[in-house]
Amino acid sequence: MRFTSLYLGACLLLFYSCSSFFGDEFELAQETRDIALPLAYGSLSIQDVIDRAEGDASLRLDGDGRVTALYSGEILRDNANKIFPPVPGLFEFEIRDSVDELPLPVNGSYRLDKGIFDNTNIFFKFRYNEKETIRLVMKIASVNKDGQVWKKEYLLNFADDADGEITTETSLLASWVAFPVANKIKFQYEAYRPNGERILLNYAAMRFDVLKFVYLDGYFGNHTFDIKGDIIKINIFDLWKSGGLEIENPTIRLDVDNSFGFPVRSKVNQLTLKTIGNNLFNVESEYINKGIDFSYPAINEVGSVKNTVFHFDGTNSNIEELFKEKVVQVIYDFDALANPDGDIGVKNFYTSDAFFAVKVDVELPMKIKSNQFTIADTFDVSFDDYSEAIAAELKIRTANPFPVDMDIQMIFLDAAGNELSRLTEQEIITINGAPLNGKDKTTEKITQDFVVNFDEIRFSKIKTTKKILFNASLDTNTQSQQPIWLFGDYGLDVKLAAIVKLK
Amino acid sequence: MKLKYTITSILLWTFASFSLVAQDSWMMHLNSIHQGYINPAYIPSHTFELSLASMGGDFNTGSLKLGDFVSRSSDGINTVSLDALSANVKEKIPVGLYGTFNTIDLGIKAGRFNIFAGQGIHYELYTSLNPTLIGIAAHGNVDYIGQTVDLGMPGGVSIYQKWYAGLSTQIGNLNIGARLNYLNGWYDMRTVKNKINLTTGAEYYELTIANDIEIKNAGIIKYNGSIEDIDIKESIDRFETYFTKNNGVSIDMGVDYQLTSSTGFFASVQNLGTINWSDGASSLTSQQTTTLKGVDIESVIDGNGTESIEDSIYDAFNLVETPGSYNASTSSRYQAGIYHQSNAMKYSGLATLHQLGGSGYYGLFLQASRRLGNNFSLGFNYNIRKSSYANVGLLAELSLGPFQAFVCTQNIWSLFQPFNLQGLSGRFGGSLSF
Repeated sequence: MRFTSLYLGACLLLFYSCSSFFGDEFELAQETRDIALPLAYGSLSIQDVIDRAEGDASLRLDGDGRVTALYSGEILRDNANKIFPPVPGLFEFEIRDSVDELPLPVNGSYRLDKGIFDNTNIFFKFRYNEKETIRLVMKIASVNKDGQVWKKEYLLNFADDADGEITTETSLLASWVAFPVANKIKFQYEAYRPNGERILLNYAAMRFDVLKFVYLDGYFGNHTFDIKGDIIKINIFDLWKSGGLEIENPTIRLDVDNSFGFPVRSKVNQLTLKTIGNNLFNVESEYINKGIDFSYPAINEVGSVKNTVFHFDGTNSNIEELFKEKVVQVIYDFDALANPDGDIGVKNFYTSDAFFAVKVDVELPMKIKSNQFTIADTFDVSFDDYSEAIAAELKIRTANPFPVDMDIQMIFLDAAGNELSRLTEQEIITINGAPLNGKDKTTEKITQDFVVNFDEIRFSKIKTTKKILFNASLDTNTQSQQPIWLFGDYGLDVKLAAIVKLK
Repeated sequence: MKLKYTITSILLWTFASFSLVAQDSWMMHLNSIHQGYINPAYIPSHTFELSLASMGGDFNTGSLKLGDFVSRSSDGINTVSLDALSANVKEKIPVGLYGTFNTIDLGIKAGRFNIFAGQGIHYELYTSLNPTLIGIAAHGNVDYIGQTVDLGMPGGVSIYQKWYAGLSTQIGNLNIGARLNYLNGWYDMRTVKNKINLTTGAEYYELTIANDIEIKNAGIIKYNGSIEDIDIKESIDRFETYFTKNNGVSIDMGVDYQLTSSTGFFASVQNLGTINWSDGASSLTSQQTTTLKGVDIESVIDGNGTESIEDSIYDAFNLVETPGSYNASTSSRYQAGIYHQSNAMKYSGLATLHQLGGSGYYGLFLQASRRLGNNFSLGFNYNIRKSSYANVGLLAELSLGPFQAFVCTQNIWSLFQPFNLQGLSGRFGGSLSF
């Protein structure tokens, strides 16, 4: 046997012989101990409150740090395809006689004065019954580049062609400029026999692959851009339980970018506000009735983008009154009318990368007046890590820069949402608002300490807590009877600590 | 919560693992090779002496008794009270455990010299009970709000084997002896730095842990990157190889001066040496300051997960492991004493000092033994150890021809009142002499 085994066997023998003095079982006495430990810390800002509720909100600060909550809809956009979509060359156009005018496939209300081709390819098909080589010159008089008319010469070898039909190679028209007359382009050919005699072919036709232009001008007639719509979710009232909150000067902002060279006017199909009670209210404004004219680049401003911003606010609509009803959604649907007045004297233009984009925002300046505005939210918690705890003293410190009084109630709930316990009336956390002292902004934080005791009986009730419901009532009237601004650097500092009795 | 269990486990292991073996002060009363355990200048009275294995151990708890914090119920359940432990640990108390299993010892008279050789396994364990740490485990940290306290507890454990060869000789009235020991280490772990300062914030109880820890480790634990993920490398009763790469050396020396034929005095030192631990050796360090302020409320609002405070405390002790060898001194012992033999009686007085883990454990022994008949000797001693002043030891020796056997202890009362013991040492063994 190895010495080590002998040694350890002897040790074990002696150990157990010795431990017979003490018996086999040891256990810890049930004694209590008090552990002081920090629980939580942080600074709660307006951004945190907005982030807690669902929605696409952001905050904007002005030069003085005043907060405006911004709720944005999707950017709705239409591009050049709406005016002149690419036309696939499905058919061939016959050139009757040796001269013919072929119509451009455009809307009848259009007048095309000038067009610069994109990557359009053309080719021709000819038929001739005789077996000889024909020299052919094709000319498009209304298409030129750098002062040169488009012209191409072909040698058509019908002698070696079995079926008497020849299709030419393609020619790229990119950068060639067309000057249609009455929306038509004239094609002309001259065909010559080997002996120089000029002839007419049995058949001549033109085809293209896709007709595209990088530039067009003229007049494009009346047009409706179906911009479609969106819903903007306002989450500021998601946590609302009771009380009033007035927001001074809410606005709905239209931000339009337009690089098409023709007049455009808005057509509001729907601008509706939905409130917390699921009531729907239409925004009323003369600008909904008559439309809003958006800026557009003039013919000498090709390539530029014109921006138009319009606000529906309390001066031109009933929106301020409607927002008092606690709006949770803004539902909108717009169209844009091109050439709304049908003025053919306005030179329109189009480029292939032009677009029309509409962005709708709801702007809520955080200049507010709250009357016991109560919000509630629930946080998941677990005391599983403190299974040995039997009592606790909770200590809370707040440092409040907001000019808002806050009363906070905590309700402890089990997994099923049943109430286990709540703070008593005396324990409700009453946070005083910071004074404005006649100014727009507070300059100090009000620091307060609160202590809440959970004795053994009370603590035993909340040990199975899975959620804590916070009810916070906010009031600005103590600090000001007028609406007050909230600033971006306001943050409610909170520290939580506890002395926990363990057993 | 795990901390208190860890502390309690260490304490219970410490107290419960003592062995009933005699401390080596009684060896002065044995005329056998075992006297060499305390007196390297021992001159054998027989040509050939062989120890048939012997086991000895010694532990010391200073002023603390098991019964100070453990009570036993009528149904045999022992209840550990941290409250009582805290009440009885008001200052740092060194606690040590030392033992040897001597497998074989051989002595041969060869002319003027006496040749000795042998092998044994030594184990050492030590720590120092920190009253503040125990107080916090017992009562919590409320009493230390606004204060910074030291929670460090040094400690170490070491197991190694010892192969020795030595000589003794007599020059006139003076006996001198020396032994050279080759040491081969099996397991070692010890703190080099153990600063752990805990500050509990005065107002909102932020916990700041500032630690500067260095632990040397060879062969005991495998650190997997987190203090929560530590494996014991091998169980204590399995060794891959009998010899490792951890080599060391120590020396034993002794003198024994005969004033008369029956009276003399001696002095000796044992196990003065060092081991170089390199086999799987590493250094585990942590030098960081962590402040726990609780969960970040904004993380909760964002719905992000938060770390529990227990996990945060574990993170504060994350160790960095750096492989590398290190040297460590062995536990040395110093003895000096006087002895007198008169007919069947033998008397001795000894002072001992045992260095273990940076602490010195002293003992004073007044011993007397008597031969009863031809085969049996019985002895008693009165001994004083650190913070323990009323200890009575026992020696019982049986001689049957060439065979001798003995058992001895330093505190016989502990056999009957284990809850009152503050330390214990003893040894048993047997030998052949012819």
